[in-house]
Amino acid sequence: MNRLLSTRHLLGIRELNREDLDLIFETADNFKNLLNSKIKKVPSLRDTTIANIFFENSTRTKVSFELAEKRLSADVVNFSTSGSSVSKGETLIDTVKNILSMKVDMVVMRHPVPGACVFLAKHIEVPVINAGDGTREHPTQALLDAYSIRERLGGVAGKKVVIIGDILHSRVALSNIFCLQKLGAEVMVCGPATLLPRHIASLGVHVETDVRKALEWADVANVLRIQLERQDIRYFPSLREYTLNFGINKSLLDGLNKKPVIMHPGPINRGVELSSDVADGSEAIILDQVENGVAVRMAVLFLLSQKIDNN
Amino acid sequence: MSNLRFDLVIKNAQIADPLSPHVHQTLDLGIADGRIARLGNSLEGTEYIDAEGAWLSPGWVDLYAVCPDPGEEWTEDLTHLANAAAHGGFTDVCVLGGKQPHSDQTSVVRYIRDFRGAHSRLHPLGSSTLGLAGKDLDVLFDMQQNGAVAFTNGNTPLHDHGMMMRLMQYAGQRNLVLYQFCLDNGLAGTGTVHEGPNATLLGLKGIPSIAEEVAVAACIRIAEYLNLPVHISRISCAESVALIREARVQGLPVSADVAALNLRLDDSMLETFDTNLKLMPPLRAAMDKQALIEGLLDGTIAAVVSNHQPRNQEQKLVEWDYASFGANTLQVVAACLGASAELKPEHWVQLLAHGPRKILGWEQVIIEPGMPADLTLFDPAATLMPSPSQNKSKSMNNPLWGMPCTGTSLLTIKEGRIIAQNR
Repeated sequence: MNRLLSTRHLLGIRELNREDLDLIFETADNFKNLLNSKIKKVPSLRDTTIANIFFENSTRTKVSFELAEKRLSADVVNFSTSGSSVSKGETLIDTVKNILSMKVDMVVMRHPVPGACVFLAKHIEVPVINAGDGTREHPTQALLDAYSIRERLGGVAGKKVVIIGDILHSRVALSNIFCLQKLGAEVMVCGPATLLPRHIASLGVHVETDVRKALEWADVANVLRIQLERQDIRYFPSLREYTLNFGINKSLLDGLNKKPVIMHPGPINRGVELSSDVADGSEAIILDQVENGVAVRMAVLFLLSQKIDNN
Repeated sequence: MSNLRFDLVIKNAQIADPLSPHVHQTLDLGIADGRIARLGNSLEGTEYIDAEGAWLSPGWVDLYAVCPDPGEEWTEDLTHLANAAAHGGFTDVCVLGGKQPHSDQTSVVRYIRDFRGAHSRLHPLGSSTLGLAGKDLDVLFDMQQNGAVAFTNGNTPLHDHGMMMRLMQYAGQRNLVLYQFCLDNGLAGTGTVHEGPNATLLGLKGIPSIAEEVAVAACIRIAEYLNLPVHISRISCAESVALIREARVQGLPVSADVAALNLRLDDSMLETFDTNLKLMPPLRAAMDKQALIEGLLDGTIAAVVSNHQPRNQEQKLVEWDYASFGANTLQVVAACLGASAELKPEHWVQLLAHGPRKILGWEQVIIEPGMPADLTLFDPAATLMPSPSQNKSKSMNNPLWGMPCTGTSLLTIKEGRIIAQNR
């Protein structure tokens, strides 16, 4: 029996159910085995054309998607522009419809506005994969994060995961919260009070502003990049002040009763949220996350391509 | 007596007007020469309308509608707006006109004053600050002399409390009617929706209730300090209702209105990212909606306004953050009030006819002989599904289309002439 995802698009983790997550992870297991074998490419998406449309800068997410697509033998076109489509004088719908008229089968989109992919999915026929929409969701990041926890700790259920940093402006935090909770983990958020959404506890997470207490509690610490570019006003006085309060270094970890697994979605601000000896230390699985990102994205692309065939 | 023939007779209307001696009676109403001539039974007329037991109110008055004419008249123009208003049950609409920001609002005020059409009467609103920027006083007296009936700063928060105070002092010295739209700039930030669990779920930046509450509190305190009355425009949260109620209990001359959609919708609908739900003030939580309705019931809130903010497709068919605020609402005000079964027909009259006229300092229209025949026939319990096929506005941004609703106006009469019928 061919198992299928419950959704046609991947717009956010919120829309997925537990069975979807298990299916994605099991599919990713197969692709990960493949990526570690001699021939890394399969013909699964031959004759499928995927457009990677990036309205916001990205390096690793774009590379990861592109590699995943190429290893599935898809044809790939890239469209990148910084700034809004409005300022370019063309609407999002026009931009994407123009690309789709060239017979594209799937769209991967990153966009600075929350819900942009939800909006797009309502107006086009092909599957849309959200590669990050403003401060809303970044579902494939959350999937690869959970997949990496599962790989390192043998499972996600019952694990305690703290997300540390700018929770207010983070799509990674939101998608991670949804994903980890669906998988049965306990989630805490930790950061400066000015960067914690006031109603974050309504999502069923613990809230902490003392990073030492948070680390003492956690099995896993997912440390977010401090994104000054996403802040319209100052939420903390300086990077030094942030590092003094929330930076994670070796002596902090050494002082704990047990050291948590350290994760980071990248790119790291070395010396700000993570010191180099922690980022490169034995607790860190940051490069595993990157590796798993390709397998997880291959799984998502493959599973959504099946939805095209079944429509 | 019975051989008198009226120009128009409305038969079998229930009088909803609490100021009328005939309230709650089912009567015929005879109109002659643009005035209510008689209330009675079996009246004879040149023309008849059978109200079939629907409720009759003095003509409804909308305190606040926006129209980007002149400047962007392809989105909405005065003719279409007046037609939509008539079909929404309004005989009179206060209009903030012109594509904003407009550098010379006085000319826009004159343009609206001089508008003559077959539908609702339009009354110009003046801008309280230059270009609606919230920073400098605009020419309030000049605009008043040219017909402005009240002054508003639109959706822009005032720059600071000093500006709020100067504005009240300046308007107060000539008893000009000032609508204070209360939102603290710094606390509102760049939010686009109500700050709450729903905004958190959707990753949308919120406008916290405290941003409105703080500004409402400041507004009331400054008015008290200056010993001036104040009208607070389009409140949206429970805390504002509580503050205004408390001020009124203390005997302060504070009045308030609410935008119709805030009585019908809440932020739980935002999940669709439908940009027609991007509104100013924002749709707040269900408990805020309930508090607003309670404010209507106990008289804390004196009026319901359309807050009609027409937008074109280019302003709405875009990503959430890039979409303009506002909805096309003139024809669905009744469909918003009807959602609250606690509101009796007398409440409707209070909130749509007597309340607005009182805020503007106008003579009341009461359903009794001699009064102008400005009338609205309505059915608070009628079920309907608003749709684009009934739309009289030029704009298409109406979030209630396709949604089952309760409550509608049936007939609008201005100076004895039928200007709109919805059946």
